[in-house]
Amino acid sequence: MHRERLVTLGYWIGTLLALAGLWWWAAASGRFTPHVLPPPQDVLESFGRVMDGYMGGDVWTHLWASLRVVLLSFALAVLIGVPLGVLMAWIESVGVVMSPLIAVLRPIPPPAWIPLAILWFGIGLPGKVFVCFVAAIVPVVVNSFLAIRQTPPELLNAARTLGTGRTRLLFEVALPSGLPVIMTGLRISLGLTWATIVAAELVVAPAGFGFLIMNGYRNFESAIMAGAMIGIALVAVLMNAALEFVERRVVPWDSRDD
Amino acid sequence: MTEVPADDNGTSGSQRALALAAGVAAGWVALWWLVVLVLKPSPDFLPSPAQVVQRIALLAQASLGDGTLWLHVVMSLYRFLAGFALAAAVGIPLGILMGYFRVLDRIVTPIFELLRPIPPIAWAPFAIIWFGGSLGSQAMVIFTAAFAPILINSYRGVKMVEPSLVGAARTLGARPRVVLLEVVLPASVPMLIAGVRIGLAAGWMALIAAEIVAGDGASSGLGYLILVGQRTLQANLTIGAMLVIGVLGAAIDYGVCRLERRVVTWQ
Repeated sequence: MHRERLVTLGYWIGTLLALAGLWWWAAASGRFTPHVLPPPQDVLESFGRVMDGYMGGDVWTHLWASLRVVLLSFALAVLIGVPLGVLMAWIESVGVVMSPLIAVLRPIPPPAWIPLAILWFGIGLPGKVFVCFVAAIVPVVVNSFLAIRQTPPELLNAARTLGTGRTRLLFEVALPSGLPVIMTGLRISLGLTWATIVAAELVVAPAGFGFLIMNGYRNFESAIMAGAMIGIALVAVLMNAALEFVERRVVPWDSRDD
Repeated sequence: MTEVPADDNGTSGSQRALALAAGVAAGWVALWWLVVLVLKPSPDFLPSPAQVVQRIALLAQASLGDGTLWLHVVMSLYRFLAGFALAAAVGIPLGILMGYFRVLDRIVTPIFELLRPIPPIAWAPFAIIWFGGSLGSQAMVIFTAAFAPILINSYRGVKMVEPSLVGAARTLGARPRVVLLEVVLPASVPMLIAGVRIGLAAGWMALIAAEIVAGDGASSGLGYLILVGQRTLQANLTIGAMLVIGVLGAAIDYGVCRLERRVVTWQ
């Protein structure tokens, strides 16, 4: 087992080195302009430039411009979406009333809301929070709903037999049993929200990681574009890891390895 | 690895439940209408349901940009299919081979895991530089979006095949090629189709994003309609196009669900 891990690690390092080498070689071969394929060293240098300040702010300014929208919309989506999904599953009439609304909103891709948000809220913070909120809430509601619906009947029946009331049944049986599914919904939601803010910033924004990509594109600075994409991927990985950490704390009994 | 946005298409729901849902949906539309009647917002801001329907009906005859509604629908579907077909053509075989051949898995996985956290739409500007402003770049963004779930599920489908099945076939003297084609492949079909379904949804989302972000070279597509609605202050056009996108997205998903039940008859 230990040996197995070493071999996997070896393949990782080998593949990535080969990939980086191929990139470097292709860029240095002169067959592509730096505009089409920015050399790796230029991309590294672009990190430094953005660190020092690029287009009205250093890297933290841009990060915060994107991140605050995501955190705000995600928090709103969790505060509203989890109770909504749970109630839809737990109280028949709430489910009947809300399901058609969710069914209509669900197949509309979040980026499709960007122009409407601009019409309704302008191009500032509220419009972006609106788009990201719409993106964030759907998976939260859907998974919270399913989490409660999928509570094993034998658990519910066992608790009922022991005389548990409806409220305690929800809070002490259904919710704990569904928590892993709810947490998965939160992770899907956070990833989707991050992708949505990038899309929104590609359309219109004065700052943020998506704005860096668009600005790099407009100024023919491919290295900045590639650097911003790497930054976006890094944040995505970190946010997912943070939620996985929370998940392990909240549902230590869940052994699914996804 | 993948989180499958779990689904609840309860087709067992009776006719009555369907009628109830339709009634409730009508209630939501009525509420929207009531809000418009009472608050009288500017139609640029919130049109009534009738105005939205009228705008779409008008667009079915009068052309906007490159053509009427039908042209925009066809163009969007065309771009979508181009990117999606490519993703399926590469993703399914690669995923299956990765599940079957260890070496390939070990080489491709690091590259894949490295590229995966980049949101597909972030590729749009590079896609434009590499493939031009219209079909090529949009197809690449859709490809990027649909590829990941298709590859992962094809891979997992193979990995999750009961080892005893493979063992049994081997004992009976089946060659590796026969094992792959006649045992592993059929057994992994349910996972594979699930991946195609997620890929379709992801690709559809990417299409609209690509048409909005990377559509500058084109004057067609549903994303273009949404954008024109915003730029010319026709909220009814924007909302109408969004509804068309939603209906088409739901129809595609429904179609694959039906197909799934046809193909995977043993589950």
